[in-house]
Amino acid sequence: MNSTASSYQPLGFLSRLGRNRHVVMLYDDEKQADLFIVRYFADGLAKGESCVFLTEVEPTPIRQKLAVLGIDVGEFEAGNHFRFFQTPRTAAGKVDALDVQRALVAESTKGMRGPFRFVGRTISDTESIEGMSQGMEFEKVGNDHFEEFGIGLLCFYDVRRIEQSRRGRWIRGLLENHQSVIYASDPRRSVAFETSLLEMR
Amino acid sequence: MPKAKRNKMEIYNDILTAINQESCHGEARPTRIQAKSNLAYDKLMRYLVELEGMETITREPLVLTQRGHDFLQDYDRIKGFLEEMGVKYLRIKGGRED
Repeated sequence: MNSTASSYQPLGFLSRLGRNRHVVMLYDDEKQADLFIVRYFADGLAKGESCVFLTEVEPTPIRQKLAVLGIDVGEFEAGNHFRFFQTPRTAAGKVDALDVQRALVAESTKGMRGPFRFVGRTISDTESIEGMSQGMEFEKVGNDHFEEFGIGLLCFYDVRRIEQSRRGRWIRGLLENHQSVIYASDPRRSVAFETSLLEMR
Repeated sequence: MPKAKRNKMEIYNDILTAINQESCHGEARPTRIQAKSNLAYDKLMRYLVELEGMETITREPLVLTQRGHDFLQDYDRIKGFLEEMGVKYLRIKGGRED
């Protein structure tokens, strides 16, 4: 059996992923995380979806990294199927989280044709208690209204950089506020599944 | 003594393991699966419908699909991730008590 194709390992999971899913990727291996992001975009582009990479930094290094990993996004940018959209660093501090997220989706997809697939970080400051508290609220509001956005979203967080004193609580909150989780780690440990599997019965 | 509570993943694992073991010895019978997975019959029936919807089993005959085998194969990996993250279960809407 080819273990990389298993339904609960990230590549197999991504290939089965339906539209408009809110997914969190927790990673401790950046190379694996990059591979899964590339696969997520490649699957979307192959299905004719438009893709948006939300970033707080200048996107040239990301564009280069994606090219090395197999997606020449320049070609898709020219056809208006792919876009980098620079976001302010701390969106989570805004007063109305829902309005901020609605506006972000509307602005970042202006002139593009759906369906849409996003990659980005909703929580920009993961290393402080305040940043995580605000960010978790932002994630919760987004998840509670996720259907109305009409997008797929892969949020990615480095677990090594999540505030340590309440790490279990933050991770639990992230899982509760996403529909699926991908753990991007050593290939022997990477896994992906629907968070509803953890409902208590 | 009260039964230890299980999350949905643990219950699915118990049912799929029981089906896998029973189908090695011929036809997997719901009554045997019920006993092995420690569930009331009506709850087992509900879970079998869910597992069929997840494409992890077929009902006639009652056997695992490839996706069901994938679940058993990767169950320890999922558990390992959760242990490492310090999470056992989630407070998600729709959860029901046994």
